[in-house]
Parts: sequence; C-alpha cells; structure tokens
Amino acid sequence: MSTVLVVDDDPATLTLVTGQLTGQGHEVIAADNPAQAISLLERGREPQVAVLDISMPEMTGFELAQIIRMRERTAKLPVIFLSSTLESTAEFVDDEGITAIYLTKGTPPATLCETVEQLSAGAQ
Amino acid sequence: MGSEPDVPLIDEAMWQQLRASLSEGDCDPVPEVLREVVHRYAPTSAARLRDLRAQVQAGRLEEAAKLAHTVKGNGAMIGAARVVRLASALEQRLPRLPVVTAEVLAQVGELEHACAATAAELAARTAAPTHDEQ
Repeated sequence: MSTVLVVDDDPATLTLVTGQLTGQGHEVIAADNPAQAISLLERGREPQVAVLDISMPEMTGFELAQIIRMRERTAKLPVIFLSSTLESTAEFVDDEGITAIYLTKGTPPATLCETVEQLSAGAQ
Repeated sequence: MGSEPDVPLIDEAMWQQLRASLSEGDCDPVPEVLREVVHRYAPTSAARLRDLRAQVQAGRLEEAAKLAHTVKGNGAMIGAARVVRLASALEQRLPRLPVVTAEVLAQVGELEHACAATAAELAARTAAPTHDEQ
C-alpha cells in the first residue's frame, strides 16, 4: 500500500476519494487547496502517487503538478488528474517517463483505486 | 429545453459502487464516510448554484459556465445523474449566449431544483437503513 496525495477543493469529493483510498489500505495526505498540499510536502510528507483535481480556484491541478515536480523528492511523482472535461480515461507519459493519467469524474470508484495501485507499484 | 424526466436523479449503479467502495464490511448498509460525503455535498452544491445564478444575472457567462462545469464534476462523483446532465447542458450553452434570456434563467432554475432534489434523495438514503437494505 502506498501514500497518496489527494487535492480537491470540493469537500464532498475530497472526503469521498480519501475514504475510498483509505478503505483500500492506502495512507492519504488530503488537502483542500494547492497551497495546503505544497505546505504538507514541504513538511516532509512523501507520496508515491498524487490525485489532483484540475479545476481549482487559486491554482489548477496542472500548475500544482508542475510545482510538485520542481521538488527533487517528488520530481517523478505519477499524477492522476480528475477531470470532468474528458469523456473517457486517457494516459500520457512525458519525455522523462513520468506518467499522468486523466480520469473522468464519475469513473467507477474501483477504477480510481486500481489506477492508484498500478501507479504506486510502478513508482516503487 | 424541457425537464429531464428520462434521467434519474441518482445513477443507481454508481450509488451501489460508492456504497461498496466505502463499506467497511460491517452490517451498516450506509457507510459512515458516505453519510459524510452526502452531508458535505448539499451545502457546497447549493452555494455553487447561488454563485452560478448571480454570475448569470450579472451577464458573466464564462464564469457561470465554469461554475456549471464544477457542479457537473462534483455531481458526477456521487452519481447525481440529472444534475450532471443539466449542468453539462448549461456549461455548453452559457458561453455561446449573446444575452441572458428568461429561458436560460429557467434552465438555471431547473438545475437548482434537480440539485435540491438530489440532496434530499441522498439525505433520505443515508438517514437510516430501510427494511430492503437490512
């Protein structure tokens, strides 16, 4: 089981995703905004996977992912973006081999958990 | 743009999956985390819809469309099928409108109604176990 950073400004979604992942035995670092997430990382928390909402008021999930990857310890952190824009799941691997997976909001809960497990297994 | 009687308030398959995903394997048919999710969904979605209506009335339709997008996504997470359908329709329509019409305000009203009905339905489902669930 792994440690997962979950960032979403919607309290219901944050509670839901946190509950699903902790129920599967993962440790969750939950933040309801990107600044809180960065603060938690700066205090030494080290996730193996991040689950980020894309659309947040102060900073998008994409911008947060860029900041996360500027830090040496989380430079290769695989990220799952939760999006309600895409109609289906998509996976991208950048030039440095870092994975980003886009999951549509409303994807079955099992898919989120399976994706986290797949990415955390690859990260270890 | 009529009502959406063909779209259920709640996607039953999604609801069952949510229950299963949050179940701790005890006898409670409604996991405590799911109660908490429902408890948090209602006020947040109501506040977002108040903002959405205010933006529409002020003619800030791009901002209103962003809020509709957020309402759609958050609804999708809990299987709020009718909210997702109505919010998606608004998200697509609002940026294309030259002016705010009575029709689009009615569409906002329809989404508000669906959101309130969804919150009430979810509250009823998580309030206490029914005989069917036991």
